[in-house]
Amino acid sequence: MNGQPGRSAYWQMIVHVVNHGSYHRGQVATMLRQLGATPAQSTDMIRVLPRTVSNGEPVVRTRTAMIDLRSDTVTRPTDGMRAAMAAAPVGDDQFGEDPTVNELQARIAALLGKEAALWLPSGTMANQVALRALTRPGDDVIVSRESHAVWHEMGGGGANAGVQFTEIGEGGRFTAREFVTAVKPREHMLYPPTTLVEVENTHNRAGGIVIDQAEAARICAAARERRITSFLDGARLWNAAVASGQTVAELAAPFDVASVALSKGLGAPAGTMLAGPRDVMRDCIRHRRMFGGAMRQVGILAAAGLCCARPPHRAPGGRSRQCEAHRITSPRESARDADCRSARDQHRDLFAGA
Amino acid sequence: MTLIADPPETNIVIFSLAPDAPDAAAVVIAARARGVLIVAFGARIGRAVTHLDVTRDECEQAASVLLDCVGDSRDCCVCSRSS
Repeated sequence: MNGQPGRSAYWQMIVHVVNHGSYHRGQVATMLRQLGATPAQSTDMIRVLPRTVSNGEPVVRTRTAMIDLRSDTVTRPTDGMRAAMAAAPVGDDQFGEDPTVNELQARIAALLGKEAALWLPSGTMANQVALRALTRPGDDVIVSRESHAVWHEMGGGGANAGVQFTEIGEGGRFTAREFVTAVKPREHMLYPPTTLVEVENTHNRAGGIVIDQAEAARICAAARERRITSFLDGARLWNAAVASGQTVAELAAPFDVASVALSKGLGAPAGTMLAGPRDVMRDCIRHRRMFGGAMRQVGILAAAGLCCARPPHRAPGGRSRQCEAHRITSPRESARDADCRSARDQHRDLFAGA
Repeated sequence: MTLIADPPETNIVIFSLAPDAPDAAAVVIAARARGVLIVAFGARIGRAVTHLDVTRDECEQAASVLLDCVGDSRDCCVCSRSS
């Protein structure tokens, strides 16, 4: 000590190292505060320990004081995801050589019951690429009222695909009859041809409603009869699956092309998958690059997506509701609690071992 | 306030504000000051979304804050449970 040799028992040295660490963490916190930063709320060992000794369990997260209900996109990667990302084998995805991306694409294709799937960096780009690949400029696209494509993609449908939208129905839903009534004919001198119908499930602006699957099947059948392509904007298809008790494959089955997001409620930092026929996905690869969304060693991000896409895909307790939303809105309906499990648990089901 | 989908089917709560309530932007600011973050989805419409990283307790707390911020006098779940 003080530059001089000294002797201590092992236990004393160990206790000293642990104890003295708190002293220096406190100093660092003080310095940070003096510099205007906000350091961790607690520097005590008991707060530090769970972050390093997690035994594979989710690490205790440092909570901010805010309750953040702005979006389910604020979810952060779990420790399992971060570990998977760090360990992911990668390659150049533009040569089709990223094994993690390829595995995720194969798994999502199987999960959605489609021939092939394609990774895209965001849900909006997935929708834009789908629009671009499935329509021609000047075409008419039929969507529900207040759909994401019309309200939240910055006019991309017009700018990137050159399409016009016809919003129909009410409360995020429309019937096959309403769809058929709104269809504009092809090869007619007076009409922009309707070439695409898009269904958003669950529907964001309508309050997260689940689309009736029988009606979706009727809409897609009517579209097919008219050579109109059907697209499922399934950014929150996982939530629809949990609420309806159906698998995402069942929900995607009537549609030619479907999307699912990995960053909404599931904790992955980025990624939406498009799935559909192989030739359509090949075309989407071209448009993805045209939009600047083709990447290289993107397996690091796809690895987080793989954590979301493991079985079981059908959440148990199909009739269950997502309790937290009820907690906000239906304070007196506590009897419903027995019938529903928390959104958190349901999301955990989808993680299945992540 | 009125819910767009009542009861909510999944994890999204969209509410439209009663005529005597403040604008959505004002509700967002008032809620933020009390530790709850939501978004305005229109001049008179707000959105709250549940997810993996919020607990049931936090949602109950948020409910009571939001009802307060919109001047809605109905009991929140925390109140009804303790009574």
